[in-house]
Amino acid sequence: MLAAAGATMPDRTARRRLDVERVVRLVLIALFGALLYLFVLYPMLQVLWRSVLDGDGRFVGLANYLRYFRTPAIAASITNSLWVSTVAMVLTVLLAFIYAYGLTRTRMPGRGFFRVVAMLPLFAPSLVQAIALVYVFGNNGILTRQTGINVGIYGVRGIVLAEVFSCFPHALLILVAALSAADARLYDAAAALGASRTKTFLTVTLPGVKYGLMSACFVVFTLVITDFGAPKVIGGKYSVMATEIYNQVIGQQNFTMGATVSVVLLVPAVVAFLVDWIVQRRQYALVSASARPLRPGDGALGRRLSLGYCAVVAAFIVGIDLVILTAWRSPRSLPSPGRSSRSRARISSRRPGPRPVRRSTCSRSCPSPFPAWCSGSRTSSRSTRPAAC
Amino acid sequence: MAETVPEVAGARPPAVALEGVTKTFGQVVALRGVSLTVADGEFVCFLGPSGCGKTTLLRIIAGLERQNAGAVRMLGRDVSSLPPSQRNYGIVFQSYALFPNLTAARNVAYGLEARRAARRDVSHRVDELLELVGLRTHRDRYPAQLSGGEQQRVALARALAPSPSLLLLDEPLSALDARVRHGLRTEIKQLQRRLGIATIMVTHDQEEALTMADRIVVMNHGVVEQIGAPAEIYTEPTSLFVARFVGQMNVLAATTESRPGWARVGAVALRCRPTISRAAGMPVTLGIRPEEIEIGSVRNVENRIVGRVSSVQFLGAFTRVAVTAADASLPLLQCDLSVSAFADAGIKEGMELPLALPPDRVRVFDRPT
Ligand SMILES: Nc1ncnc2c1ncn2[C@@H]1O[C@H](COP(=O)(O)OP(=O)(O)O)[C@@H](O)[C@H]1O
Ligand SMILES: [Mg+2]
Repeated sequence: MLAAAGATMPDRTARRRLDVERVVRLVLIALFGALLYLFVLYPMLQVLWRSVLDGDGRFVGLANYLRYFRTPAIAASITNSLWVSTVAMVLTVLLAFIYAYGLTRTRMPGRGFFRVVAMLPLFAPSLVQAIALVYVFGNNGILTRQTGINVGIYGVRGIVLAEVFSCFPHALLILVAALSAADARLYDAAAALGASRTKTFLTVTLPGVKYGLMSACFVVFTLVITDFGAPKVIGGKYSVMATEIYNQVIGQQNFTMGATVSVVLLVPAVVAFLVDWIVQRRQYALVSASARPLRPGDGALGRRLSLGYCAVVAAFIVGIDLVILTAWRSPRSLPSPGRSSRSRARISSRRPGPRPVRRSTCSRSCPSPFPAWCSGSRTSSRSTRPAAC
Repeated sequence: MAETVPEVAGARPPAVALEGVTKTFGQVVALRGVSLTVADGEFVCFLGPSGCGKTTLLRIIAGLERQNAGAVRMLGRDVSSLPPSQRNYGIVFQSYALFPNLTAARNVAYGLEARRAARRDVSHRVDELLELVGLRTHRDRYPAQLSGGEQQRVALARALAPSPSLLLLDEPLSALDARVRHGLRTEIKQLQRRLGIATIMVTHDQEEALTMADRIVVMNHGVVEQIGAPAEIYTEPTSLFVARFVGQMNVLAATTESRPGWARVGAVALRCRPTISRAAGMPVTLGIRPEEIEIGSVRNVENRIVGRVSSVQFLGAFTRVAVTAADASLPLLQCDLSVSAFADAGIKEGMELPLALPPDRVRVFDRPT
């Protein structure tokens, strides 16, 4: 009898604790649900709704979409966006893969330093980085004036460069995580079977980071296609979907067309996100419990090569960030960034000269001048980035 | 029942010869001056408790780990500083380590492809090996679609595909359940006999080593304790560690007497197997296996002990009887009896039982002070 009483006692307290846990869980779910609705779902639904209304608020069905795809100037922004995103994706993932490989698979000196430096672009929005690129490579940029060589930064080239720059740390985080999860046993097996470096890379390394690579591709693609800042600043006449929304809403006060482009823009972003989500779930099944962590080999050649490569990349990042920093400290000491006439006309009314740098660095605390849905997709895709490191 | 050890033919150098191999990981000394030879066609087991350096030694032979000192020779060739690809062996890892993204057939083909064999030869050889391990129908399956035993067989086929002169197995059976393990044990042994390939198998399972090996290398804390045929290791252990690690052993703390060949446990004087003479009063450990203790109507006059049966344990082929000696200085003694001997003696718990420790079975080991 005593034993029975003793047995029910903890049972009851345990049940009570379960009840409390359930209440807390429900409250938290409700809270996050409300926040999610307020900041993500509600604006999105608004945009969706707007895209099926005409300028006077009458329901017109898919008329806006038809008009969108029939207007060559606007529809071109789709192909432009896809092109820029694809090129930036391939470049970013390639560059970040080599960098991540150096960090994780060699014993080059200064790995911690290089890892931190590579994260620097995370601390400023792509817009600021694009402005810095203009400061350096623009018509009136530092490098252009010093060397007399104008690389023609405005347009696809500039957008891709700015996007590669700002997406690099995102891709790097994912690839470092993927490359760190290597199974040394497979490398031992390959070595014991007499496989060459190339064969080992193709049959062990690449399949091992397959999902990480795909994930990095999707994340970068989403980041680029939804980015507004860089194309706006450095894109010149090159119109992408994100700037087209701005153009429609702010330039032409055409909210419905802006909403339509936003919904179309949502499609590749959501697809990329979903595929990435599925891929992420499969990645976990790949790393088995008995895997032995890989100790990087001590090949001197690989170490030197990756050191050289990482140093060049890091120097570029530091250089651009120094430009941002000096511009922020003394805005007037720098040459005014030259822009193509069209983009200058479009922006100058709101943000003259180098001042945008100062503005955007504080834009996290200041209210954004753009409608919430304009930057919404960018923010949400940033926050869904898998936490690594 | 002693296994025949293939003699090293004068012309044929040993498949593997290790000379003073030493390996340290930072402060940890994993191996301390290990020397041994493996004859061509011989099956050798590295046996020892977990962490004694068996895997490290195997990896050094494989070239996957570099020794700090010492030499590794294969068929007379010094391979001490050669990479794995130039050593001509096949290895099966403890956890298979099959390439998860390749089918069984492509896994088996891997080593052949790496050696740039012709495509048709590869395909032919892959079929041959999958046939050999009885997995011909599984050639297009991925490792995740194979059971543990099947994966291990694919790993074996993969190791054997390039026709190596040496096969290395790192606890190949430890991850499998008992029935599969016993089946594969025989299979591997038969395969090794048929191919006549020199084989080193690492294991911590003494039963596995005793049943499979031509010779056993018993290791402890990075040193070789004893090398010998299974029967020799079992009947003539040279150290207390080997005696206790391989099979069961009753151990008694004793001191030597002035009479040579005698030792004293508390008040009881015991005659022991004649060994090197020790000075009187030396602390030693006496060891006798449970099945060597004589029981019941004892004919022996020497080393007689009277005890009381404290427990009886039926273990299938034999019965283990624990006996508390009347003399309190003696420890609890385990005696193994065949089923018929047990029935004849009519042993019950609590009954008095005369025992004898045959002197030629009482081994004497040095006791570190
Ligand atoms: N890569 C390594 N780094 C550090 N210590 C190691 C490494 N590999 C093995 N050791 C140590 O060496 C000793 C022997 O290990 P191992 O050869 O794996 O033992 P076994 O295979 O007999 O269980 C252990 O103490 C282990 O901790
Ligand atoms: Mg081991």
